[in-house]
Amino acid sequence: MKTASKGIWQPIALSESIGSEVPIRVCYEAKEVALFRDGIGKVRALKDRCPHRRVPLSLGKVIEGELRCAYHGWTFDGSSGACTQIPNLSDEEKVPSRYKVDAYSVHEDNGFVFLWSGQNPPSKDGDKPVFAANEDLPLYGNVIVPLATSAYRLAMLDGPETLIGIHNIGFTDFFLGDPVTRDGIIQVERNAGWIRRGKPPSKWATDYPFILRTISSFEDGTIIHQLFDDKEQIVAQIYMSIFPGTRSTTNIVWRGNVNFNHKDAGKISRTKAPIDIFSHLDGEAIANLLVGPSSQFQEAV
Amino acid sequence: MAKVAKKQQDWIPTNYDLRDTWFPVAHATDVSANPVRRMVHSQPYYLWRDNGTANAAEIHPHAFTAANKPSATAFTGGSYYYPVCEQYGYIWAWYGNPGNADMALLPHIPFLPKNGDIPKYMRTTIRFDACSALSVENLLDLTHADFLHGEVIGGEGESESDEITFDYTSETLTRVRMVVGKPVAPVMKWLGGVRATHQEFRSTLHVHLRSGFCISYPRFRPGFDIPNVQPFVPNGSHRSRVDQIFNLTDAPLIFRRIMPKLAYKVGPQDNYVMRPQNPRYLEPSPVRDMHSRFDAPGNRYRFLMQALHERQSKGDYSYGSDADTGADITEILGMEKSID
Repeated sequence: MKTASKGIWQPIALSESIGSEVPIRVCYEAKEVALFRDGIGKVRALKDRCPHRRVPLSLGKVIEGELRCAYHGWTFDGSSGACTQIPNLSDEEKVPSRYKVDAYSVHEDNGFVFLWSGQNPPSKDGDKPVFAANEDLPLYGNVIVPLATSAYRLAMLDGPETLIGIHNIGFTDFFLGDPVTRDGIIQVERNAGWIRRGKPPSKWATDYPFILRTISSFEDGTIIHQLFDDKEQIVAQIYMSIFPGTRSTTNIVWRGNVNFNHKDAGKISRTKAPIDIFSHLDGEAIANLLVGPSSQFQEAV
Repeated sequence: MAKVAKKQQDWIPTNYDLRDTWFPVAHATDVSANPVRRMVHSQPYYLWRDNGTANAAEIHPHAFTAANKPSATAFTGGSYYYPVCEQYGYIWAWYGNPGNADMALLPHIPFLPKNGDIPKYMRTTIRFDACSALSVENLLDLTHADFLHGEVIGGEGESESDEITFDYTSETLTRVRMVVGKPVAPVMKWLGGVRATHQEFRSTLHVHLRSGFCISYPRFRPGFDIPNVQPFVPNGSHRSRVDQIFNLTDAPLIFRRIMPKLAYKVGPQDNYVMRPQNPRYLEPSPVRDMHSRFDAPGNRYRFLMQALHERQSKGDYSYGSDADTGADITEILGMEKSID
């Protein structure tokens, strides 16, 4: 998703998370962002700090499409960041035009809300993100995990079973060939099979029913998982956006689907979180992961 | 504790470790033979009574006989004991050079009896998740009440007129807010029996800069007065403690009983914003705060605190000739006479 304008569109939130009554707060690297919907339902992003007394604007309310600070009611236009109202001023008193908060470029598509990371605004034409385009992804969620983003991404290549789960599916560490790097991504494939009686797929199987393909971007921290069968039909897929949060945590925003029409998908529960992005991590399991495909990722980076 | 001042190109409220002042470190009723611990600018204060007489020391009384007890600091002049006194229902302890302690510097509180004879239900203890100076600034600025405390005080910026004036010396700041045509405060309607739809509101706040001791006199008409003191004792850079005392003897019985307890509702409402606000004032910011005219008293407070800080950092802890911290403030608060 890197574009010609020296920035990226980073998915930082889910469409469902953003309402028109109260904002939400997202930390993306050093940026603290308050996200909300304006009067016509368009997502807006403002720096999460009132220029008056530094209180997070995400504690406030959306009033008539604008974001009002919880502390003194200073109100800001989501498009320009301009302060439009200071309560109790008389009709003759105007808010100085320099009173404003940083407004960030955002774009909403495919159930994700993207934040523009570049110093300069994105170009008008051809700069829209394409993540998860044309996919129906009814499952979704977001979590914050206590692991640095770089470590999370490497662990995802070497041992995704420590970070994510698809119900009843066990991921093996039998990698199918070496990772492939191309066009700013690294792709790893591994065998996967059914978990039976709580046990992972047998190491002695002659063949496994599934392959998990993991595609990790070098540039924007997105990861796509595709679980497909021996006929190359997709059984489940997960689109993840992974970006640094505060205190060396990692934010994860994800959407996914399971093809419950697939003949084998019946063993994947519809009710017990068919897709699970772990919020509590097994530190010992992650620490003990042996270096595998992540070595090529680091070389490529 | 002595701290190296950070470069003062921004308002850094944690920097103002002002000395030579009395702090009301505890409700007098909270101090007994069993020692309790309080903090003032990260300096420990152990409080207890011997035969009814209050003591304040920088070590636990059991530690006096310990073989390895720490050395006494300059705050007690090497004696381990702080100057201490009891008045208006508080235990007051001196912070600074003990040789400069003078009871004439105690604030005057015209609506509290000097002997502290105030019912226990009119005392509260609130912990603020911000340093003292930021908490005082919050109190000075009453426009936030419309938004944070609307369900108690009422209105969200709705009034016919809203004027704020202030006066100051080098040691005190007095802010008066006059609001006309304000929707009647819910607390006045539901607990005070006020049937009007709108009321006038005059709020006077008298702040002692060194100690963060705030004397508040809100007056509602129709309605009644809610005189109270809020001493923002600086625990450290991140938290402050308020042992609040009301005198609501003129208010209806239900109001008198319940109003002090509303402090436990209002305090968390302030903490809702101050808790995340405080860390954003620990270091200088490249972006300066913006202000409206309603911030004039708060801005003056910042200026006066900075002036005091600069004077003390040069070794001058004296009180200016314009400042009489123990002066009678009955008239300033709009009261007819002091109760003592």
